[in-house]
Amino acid sequence: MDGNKDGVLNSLVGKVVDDYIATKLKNGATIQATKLNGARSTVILIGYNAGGFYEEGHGKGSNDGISHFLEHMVFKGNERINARFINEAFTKFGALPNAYTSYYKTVYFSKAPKKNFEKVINLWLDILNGFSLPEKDFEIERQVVLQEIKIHNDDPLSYAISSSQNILFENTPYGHDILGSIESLEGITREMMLEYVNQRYTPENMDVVVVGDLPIEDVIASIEQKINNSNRGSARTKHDEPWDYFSRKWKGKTGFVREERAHPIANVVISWPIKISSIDEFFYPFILMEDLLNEGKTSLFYKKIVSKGLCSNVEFNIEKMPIMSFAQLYFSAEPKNVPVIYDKILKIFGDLKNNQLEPQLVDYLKKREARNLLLSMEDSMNLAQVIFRRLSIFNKFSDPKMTFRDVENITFDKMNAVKDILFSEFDAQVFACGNIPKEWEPKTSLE
Amino acid sequence: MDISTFSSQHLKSITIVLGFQHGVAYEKKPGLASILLPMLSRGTMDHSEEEINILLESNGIKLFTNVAQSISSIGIRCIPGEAENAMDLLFEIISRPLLNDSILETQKQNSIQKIMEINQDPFSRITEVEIFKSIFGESHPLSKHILGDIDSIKSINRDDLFTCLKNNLLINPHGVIIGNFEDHEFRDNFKEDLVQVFLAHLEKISDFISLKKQELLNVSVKPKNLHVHEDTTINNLYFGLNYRTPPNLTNPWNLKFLSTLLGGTLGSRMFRIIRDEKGLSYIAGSFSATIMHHGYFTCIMDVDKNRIEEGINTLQEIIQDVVDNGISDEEMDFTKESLLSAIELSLDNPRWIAGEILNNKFNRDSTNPYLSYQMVEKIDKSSLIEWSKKVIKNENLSLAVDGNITKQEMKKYWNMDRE
Repeated sequence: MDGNKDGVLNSLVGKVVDDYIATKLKNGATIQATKLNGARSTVILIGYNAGGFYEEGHGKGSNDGISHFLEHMVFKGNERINARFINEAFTKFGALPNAYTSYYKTVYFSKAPKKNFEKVINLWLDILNGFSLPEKDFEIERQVVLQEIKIHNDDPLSYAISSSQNILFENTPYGHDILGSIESLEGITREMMLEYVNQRYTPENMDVVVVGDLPIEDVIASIEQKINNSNRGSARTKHDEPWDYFSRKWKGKTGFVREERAHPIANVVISWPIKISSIDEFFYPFILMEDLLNEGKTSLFYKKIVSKGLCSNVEFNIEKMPIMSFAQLYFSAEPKNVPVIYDKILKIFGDLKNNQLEPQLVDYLKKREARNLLLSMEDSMNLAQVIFRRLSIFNKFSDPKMTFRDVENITFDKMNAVKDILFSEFDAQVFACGNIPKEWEPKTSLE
Repeated sequence: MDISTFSSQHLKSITIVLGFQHGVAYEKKPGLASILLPMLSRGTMDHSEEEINILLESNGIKLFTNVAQSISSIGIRCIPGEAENAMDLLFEIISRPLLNDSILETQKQNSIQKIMEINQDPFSRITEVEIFKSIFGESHPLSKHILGDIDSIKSINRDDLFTCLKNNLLINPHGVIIGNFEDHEFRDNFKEDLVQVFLAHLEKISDFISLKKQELLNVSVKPKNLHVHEDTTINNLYFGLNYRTPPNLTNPWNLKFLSTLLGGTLGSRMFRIIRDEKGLSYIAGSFSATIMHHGYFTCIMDVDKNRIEEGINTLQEIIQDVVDNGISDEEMDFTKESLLSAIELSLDNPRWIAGEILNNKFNRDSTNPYLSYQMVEKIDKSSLIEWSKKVIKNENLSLAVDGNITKQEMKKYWNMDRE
């Protein structure tokens, strides 16, 4: 970065995140807290190493979807603090709670006014230390999750996104939906869930992040006391399988699959694996590659596809995961435009495969990303997510301000290495759902 | 022509917004503003589209546009050092756009595509399209989607864009500037300087601006008591049970309160009874809105087809219970606390603050961003229950259903069809 404006930017970076403290407790749990001066909102984020990756088997008789079903059941509490008590307490405290489950994490989070921070963190820790999966709630909540699965399948684009991934990673831990299937959900018992809780909801699998205009040293001390008093067991975490083991299991089902539905448009998803042994050194270069392809109106997809009126958006994400990552691209379009858009995408990929990125382009991407990060970190929830993500990916604490340094340190060579990882052996699974052009048979690899 | 400013200590960015009293409800060709606003940045007499995009993105300037039923806005968000440059660019695209035919065609295609995407997802469809057909009637101005409809978009030409820009878009404009102006971190008199630059820009485009207040539409409401959109490709049924408020009863804060109490929080009646006690639905929530002097609240659910009757009956019982048995003090207190906290949390978000100021300015003759907070604080239980009894009546009720079911089948479960 250079020039006066970047001097101002650097000084602002220092002011966005005023103080940051991180600690690892004796029982293995981690706590990170950041002060966001002047913010009215406080954010609490509590994550466990539990998710689709740790589930076993597929379909009927497996425990697919147990992590996500459990995420629902946590909010049922126990005999003392039941679902109604919990829901009304969050409402009374003005908190906006939510949760999500991914392949590696189940994350509980909330935004709440500063004045109620202490009540909300105490409520979260009471819930997470004490939930007991009440039998009377188990069957009712199973019905709710089954409804959620049906909603997911009713949206052709969501359905296409997960189908492409399931086919690409068939018979591996990524080859099933996080939600599970109707068949697997129907077979999950309370006993299976209790066993899963004992394996995964342990202090050493727990990470806490707090953001707000708070006395963060006091906050950490108070949370530490609560977590140390946790009555949950501390079974050893099952170590993540190394990538080479994962890749030996993976048979890589690439190629084209179509599923006709009576809709006016087609939804097309392209998924392919990223064969690297560790994500951390490539994490921010991958983000810049995402930016190059689809962030804003200087992106390649906007300039060559969206601005031509061919479709409203082309979304491209690199699922950056600890064991094995993959790239996924999707768009919805009128049938007549699908082959045109697809050919343009392959042309963009082919050009990237065959040509080096220019140094000026890399500098431009870095400068833009630094500014985007600054604006996004003004929001307490975004800042909490950045802190949590850094721990998840790099498996170590780091001040969120280091994000700017990491972006600044991306080299021209590293960007070209990432480009080669993405496109040199491109061989994809392509899934189309909806009104798909007849006789369209897309190529799934690059020339 | 006035400008509102708002300062908050946690903000490091500057947000500058220009709002207008124009929205899809005023448009003869619905979707015009949704096409026009994004087109403004696609090339001016001074810069090509690509040059504008590079100027914006390389300097971290976020350009955003928003079109609603009766209000539209365009704005920028950036670091303080870029604020004046960003404002120059904002007014360049407003005052000197090319709006050429080839770009118009691509923008129309983008809008049509977005409408088709909404139409393929049943949840988007019920919440953004179908409920309004039952609340206001299919051809009512307030039933129009902000993107318009496909036929209307196809008919838009370049003359329509210029006419809209010069005659409609800049009606009664109001500026909003938001940042941290309290501790003078960036430079002294920064806020005053920005206001002066903003006013100077407005002066230059004063020929475009009309200060005449937009007349509110006064159209009769012909709701469809039962509206069914049949889709044989999906598994669930999705429905919205809606109550509209007649103009003399439209009170945005009472509406918001009642809607929040019914389905706006985890502690709400819908969440407790429909999800936690009966496991009927994953989406069990409600929302409300006022559009000009009309208002409504809607309770949305997904449900398995075999449980549709149970779903509708349960929801009606939940709503009727407010009329029959009132609201407990405890429920009143935690709903109020939740609403006030939600407003407080939103005050961290500069785009929300700008929207609130513009909404209050155009609908309530106030530019006070704390107006909603103050009005919600004043709500008392007895007047809310009295107001609710006047709104929760069959004459204001409608039902929109989307899924694999016919209207004939639905009439088995809904015997209040007035058609």
